[in-house]
Amino acid sequence: MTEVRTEVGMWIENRRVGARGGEKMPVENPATEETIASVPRAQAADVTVAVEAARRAHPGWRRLPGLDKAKLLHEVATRTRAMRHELAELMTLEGGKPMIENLDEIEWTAACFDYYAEIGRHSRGNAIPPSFEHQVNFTVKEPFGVVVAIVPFNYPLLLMAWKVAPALAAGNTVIIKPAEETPLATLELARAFEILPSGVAAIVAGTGEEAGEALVTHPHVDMVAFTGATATGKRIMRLAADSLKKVNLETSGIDPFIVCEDVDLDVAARGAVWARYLNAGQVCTSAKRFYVVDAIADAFVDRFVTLARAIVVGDPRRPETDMGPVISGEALARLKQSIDRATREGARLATGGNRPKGLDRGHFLEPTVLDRVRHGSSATREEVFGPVAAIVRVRDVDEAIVLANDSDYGLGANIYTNNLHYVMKAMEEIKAGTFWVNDPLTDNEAGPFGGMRQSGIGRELGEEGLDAFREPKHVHIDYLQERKSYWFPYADRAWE
Amino acid sequence: MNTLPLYIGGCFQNGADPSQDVINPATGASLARAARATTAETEAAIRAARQAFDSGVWSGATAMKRGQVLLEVAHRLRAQAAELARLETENMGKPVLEAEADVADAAACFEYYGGLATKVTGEVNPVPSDALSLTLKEPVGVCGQIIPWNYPLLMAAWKLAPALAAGCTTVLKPAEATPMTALELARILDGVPDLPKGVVNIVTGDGPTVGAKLAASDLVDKVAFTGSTRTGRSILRAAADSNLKRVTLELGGKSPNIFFADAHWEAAVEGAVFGVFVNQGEVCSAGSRILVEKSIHQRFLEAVVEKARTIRLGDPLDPATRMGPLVTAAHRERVLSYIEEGRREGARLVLGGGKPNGALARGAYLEPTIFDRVDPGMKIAQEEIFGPVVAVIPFEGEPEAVEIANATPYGLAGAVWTRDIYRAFRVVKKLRAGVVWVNHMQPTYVEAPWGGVKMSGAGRELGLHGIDNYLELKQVYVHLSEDPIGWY
Repeated sequence: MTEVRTEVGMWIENRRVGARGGEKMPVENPATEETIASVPRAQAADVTVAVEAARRAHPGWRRLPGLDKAKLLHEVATRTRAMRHELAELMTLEGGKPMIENLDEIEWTAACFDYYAEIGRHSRGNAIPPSFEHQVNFTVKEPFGVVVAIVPFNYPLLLMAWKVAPALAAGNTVIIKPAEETPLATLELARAFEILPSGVAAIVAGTGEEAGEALVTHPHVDMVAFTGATATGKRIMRLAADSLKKVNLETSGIDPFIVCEDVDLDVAARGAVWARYLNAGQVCTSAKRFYVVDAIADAFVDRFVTLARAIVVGDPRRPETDMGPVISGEALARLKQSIDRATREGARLATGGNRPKGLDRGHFLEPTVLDRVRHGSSATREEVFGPVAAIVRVRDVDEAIVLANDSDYGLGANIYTNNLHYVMKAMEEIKAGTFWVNDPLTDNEAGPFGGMRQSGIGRELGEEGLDAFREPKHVHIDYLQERKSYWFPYADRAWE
Repeated sequence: MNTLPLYIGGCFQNGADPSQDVINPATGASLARAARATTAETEAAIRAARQAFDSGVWSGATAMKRGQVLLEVAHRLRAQAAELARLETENMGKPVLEAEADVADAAACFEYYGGLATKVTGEVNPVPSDALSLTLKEPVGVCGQIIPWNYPLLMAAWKLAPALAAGCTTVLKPAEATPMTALELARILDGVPDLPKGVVNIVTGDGPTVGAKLAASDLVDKVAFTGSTRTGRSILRAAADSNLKRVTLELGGKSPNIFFADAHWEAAVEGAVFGVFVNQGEVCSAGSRILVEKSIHQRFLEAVVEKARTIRLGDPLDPATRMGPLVTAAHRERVLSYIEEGRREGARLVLGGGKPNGALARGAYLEPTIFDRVDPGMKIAQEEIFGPVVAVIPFEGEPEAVEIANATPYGLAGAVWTRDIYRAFRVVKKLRAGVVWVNHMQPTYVEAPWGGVKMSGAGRELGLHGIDNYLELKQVYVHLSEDPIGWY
């Protein structure tokens, strides 16, 4: 097996440290079920050290000129790129995502730091029209202070960068808590953060119940940015409510994918299969509900099933592997329950549902297709975070739009069609933070990302993603020294 | 005979030379006599605007106050909408239904910029923390605004509303042929109590005297012009030769209206007709070139001709009328000379081409005219005719459509009709134009920017960008330390 340093420290005050009480937690390779490393498991006392250091570092970091901040963030990007092979190897081992996807993720991570290095110094606020000529009014946008970034297992570095890059660019100091399943690449990336002043960026490993809750409830944390399940997002918001901490939440999605009768079936089916099985279906914006128009449903499902069966499942470190394992044994068990429930509710298991042949160890599941799923059944109501596609057949695009929109969630939505009117109607009617036409799941760091309904609060990326980490201060200057007519005594003012 | 005054420094005054005959083009009857302002009168208007600006009475008024004045203007326009529409139609010849829409659009323009006045924001710049850097926006100063005759009241609104919202003062020159509604607007402005005298001045007259003076005056800070490319060029030259005043130009066009075989048939046929024959084709963005895919060319042409035959020419005051006379008999002669040129070049005339007989013979009417099998290089496919004349050009395939569409010196607008989203956006991205419509042609909103690329203009009017034409930036640096620099 690949060598992993079995003891990896956290990163607090620009030093490698363990948990003060010596607590540790194991890290598993989901493709082999072997324990590959042990990392510190931070407790409340460790969290306090990181938070206080971040708080002390904040005034200096905030005042650092934008140009200097930009140079440092560009340097973080450069160092991230230089470490791409080590980082990709670690991510593949701890997360089970194919190596090629991890190499892509590292490039996107670096690009995100480059992007915010620049737009962070692009704007500071607005000069607004005063009520009277002898006044000057403007807003300056200020950082919140200490920001906590809680990151999920599926894209450990990218979703970290979406929070940390804009938060630092806006002048906050940050504490990163990687997912307990995937702390290794993030801890390794501390080497890119060495160049930042002490306390500006810290990495705290641990569980959600211990380190996560301690961070969210700490009185000196000003804001929490989170990506993960909706249930956890709600818990964070409840905890944050006690001290009115600001939150930015990017949570679950059950994204619809509409396929119309006029598509090139080969292109649409290939796009759909990638949109569902990328990263073993563990993407918040994975296409999860497919609404396929009757006229082409048989032909589409045939192709979809054929392509799903052709996906190469196996060791994520091998270059030909399309899909690795899911993240944990628990996740695999939940997926199997979801598949059983769907078939009990009347869906037809068109392919998959089992452990792939020849893979005796690791949390592997065959690419699975549930056809003739009834809209309203659990497969269309609950987020299935794994390689399981639910296909719902519909009369026409109008029915597809209605059903696609019938959800508690609103993260992303997809449509495949050539027809301009279908596109415009679906775009107008479906509640979703991102709407993809004929090109699923692509991001652009210049465009906002996030969810409507229970898929989140706020946006990451783009200028919106910078404003998520700062708040405006309105400054009012009056340069006329005069007694105002509206002050006391009111006897001077006639009642109107 | 009604003699129209000049409006200078908040006073209506008779011009020294009230010799401009104002004609109703539907009947040839004289409506009024307008002043041909002299150079001295133009200078007096400029001085009035200069004085009003320099006094700070308007630029120093709160944005809220300026906004309220514009909203009040809109309110008063709506209150006398029917009368204004009738006046516009009598003077310009457009169907009264269109004139009513123009008045509503003019009011909406004053409302939009009335609301925008209080939302003009500058920036706080991210300089190092020992300083505060502000970008403030300030009115550019005295404006000369020169407008055409095709939408007299609406063009006045497009010019005045953003300038006034920004805190500028202005001298507005209506087109020689169409001063009626502009002077009625002057009466409305004069009646708004919080609009100080001299902020808006309205001077009728000819281009070589009044327009040229506005373009050349050192007291004018900015000229905004809508009209022909030729005149636009001379204004730019005059600005360069005088005080480098800011110039925005909205000029001519030869806009392509492109039809692919998969377009919705009835909508496309009507869109082709409406795109070029609305307002008698006297529209800068007229879809005066119909580019049609060869596979549907013959059938589409027949349907367009049939639809164009149903256009009701007649008394523009009759609400059933869909096409009135051209603006003047002289303009009709110019358009007829292009029709003659089209015949001579060998294009196939399939509809119209002449003056209607009978009851319409007294007015400056011209039949809706369609040329088929027009070669993209012909004069009628290259030059702006500004009348009800359209050139139908067949094409084979998308690349050829785009190539023909872009092969004129103009770049104001364009439209593409298709139900295929891939094709729609491919063509949208390739068209060199300031405005592109998909599956429609001509809808225009005050909220969205308007203007052309290439020789169709410089700058954009309307929308959030429209007010920037009337603002200058001032960068303010505030040092946050009182220590000496310590350089010497």
